[in-house]
Amino acid sequence: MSSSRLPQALEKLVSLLARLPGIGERSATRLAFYMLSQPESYARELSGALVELVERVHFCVDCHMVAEGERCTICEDPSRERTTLCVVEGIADLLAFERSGAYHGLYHVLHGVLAPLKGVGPDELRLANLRGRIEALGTSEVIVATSSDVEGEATALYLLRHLAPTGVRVSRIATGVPMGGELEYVDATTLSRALRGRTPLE
Amino acid sequence: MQLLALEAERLRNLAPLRLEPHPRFNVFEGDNGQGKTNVLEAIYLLATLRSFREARARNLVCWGESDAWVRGEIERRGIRRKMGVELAKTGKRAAIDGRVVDRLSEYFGHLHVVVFGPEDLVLTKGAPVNRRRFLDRAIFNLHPSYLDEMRAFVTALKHRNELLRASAGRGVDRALLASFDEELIRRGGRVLWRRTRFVSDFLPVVRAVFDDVTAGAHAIGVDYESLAGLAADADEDACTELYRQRLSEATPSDLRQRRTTQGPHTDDLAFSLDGFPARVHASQGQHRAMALALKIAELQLADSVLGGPPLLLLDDVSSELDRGRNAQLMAHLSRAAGQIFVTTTDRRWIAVDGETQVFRVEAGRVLPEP
Repeated sequence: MSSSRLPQALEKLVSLLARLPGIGERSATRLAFYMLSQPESYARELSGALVELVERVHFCVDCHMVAEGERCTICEDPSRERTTLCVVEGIADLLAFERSGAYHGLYHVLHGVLAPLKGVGPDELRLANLRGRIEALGTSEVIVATSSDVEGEATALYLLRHLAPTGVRVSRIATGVPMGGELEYVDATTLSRALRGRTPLE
Repeated sequence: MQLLALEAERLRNLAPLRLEPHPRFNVFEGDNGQGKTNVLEAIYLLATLRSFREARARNLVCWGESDAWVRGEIERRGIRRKMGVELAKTGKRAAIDGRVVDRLSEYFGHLHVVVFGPEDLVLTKGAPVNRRRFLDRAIFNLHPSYLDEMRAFVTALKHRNELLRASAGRGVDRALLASFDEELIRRGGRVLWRRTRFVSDFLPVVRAVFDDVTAGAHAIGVDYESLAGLAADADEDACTELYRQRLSEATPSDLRQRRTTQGPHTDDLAFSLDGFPARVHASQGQHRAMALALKIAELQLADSVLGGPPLLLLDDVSSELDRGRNAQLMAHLSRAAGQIFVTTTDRRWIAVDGETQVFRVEAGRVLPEP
């Protein structure tokens, strides 16, 4: 990139934008030029929104969901069942559960999964307060809802060990055939998992 | 299984290609560098979405062009399908009957090929990784979901090795290691089971084919070398439990060496010739015959499992075998069923009776001879 020919302010913005997920140097340059082509008010509004974001939006001190105050609206909601805790990888997963309307307990957002290759160990996850929360809440069941790939499974196994001292019941969400899915289109790995995890007909 | 028509554009040095292959023997004759092997690459790409010589299929695009495509019409069990692959800058796209597949894994299962060429000599002569790759690809051809299973094992292995590597000087988080151990054991158990099942069907066929191609002049031995104590009829749970035991025994040593020493990633196929290890005792010609026996056995096994023989692609095979073995190979192929594509510099090598279409390959043009 011939970015050295660009004014320093532009170069700085490009390098900051290029740190965003999915954005490379080329896209970052395009975004920066777009901003430059817009009325000045756009840049002021954008930078204001960014400042407001970091000043007003935090992560919930309990479950690490986004929150405007110290705690998120879910942890503050008195109608939620406080005895079950669902552990998810990210906020997107939490929102998926919320959309389903099938879960009424509390959450714990890890903000990642264990992945030694990427340098993510237990210290990089939001785990430090999990055992304390379980004891404080008197949680009766922890549902581990990480994905079923190697990292998600290893994280679930780690949580099982990590939570053993609390004596809490730890369960894993089921994997298998999607609802409304036609069996013939389900891949063999999923099908064999579904077969192993079969339940009695009642 | 039969390839009825093949078309390709901008693939390597090939001029726009249109051909209707013969249901049995197709011989592509031409001097070196004219594009014979690229015809086989087109067929291989159509079947596997990969190249058999290049690490990246993208490298098959003609130099200076931005994209290439291959299309074919196939017949399998009386059903005709159109298949197509496009190599573009943005990636690969594959279509069946005009519909682009969302996931490449949906594409597989319609057209199967087995390829044998000069580079396959590493199968018996080279390092074990070549034989593992052969096993994995052969299993994948029969069970497409094996690809994801194998990848998951490799991911678990890399994570565990990273934990062992990073443990230098500061010890290892036992709970963390145990979590990835368990994933490694489960994913590895699945791979071991797939391989165990495959070799128990496959190795007897390899021995029989080798006897046939060499007219029984030498006794070949071939064994699957894996975890100590792995039974030939172990089921998935038995494979998993054995791996659990071997991994746990090896963990102190793994921590010292900072790598995983036990598992499917160290498997091998061990060949012997008249009771001696083939790697050091076999001649060049004997290595060729063994590698070829592996490929033909793969073909025969696929024939019985898939209900029809895959296409056989033989790249420049005759120059790799001496005259006697070549005659036996041709006799063997004439007896076996299936559609065969052979490249050669001299058609006199291809001693098969009738049922043959010769194509002349010159400067990227492929022309059928009357």
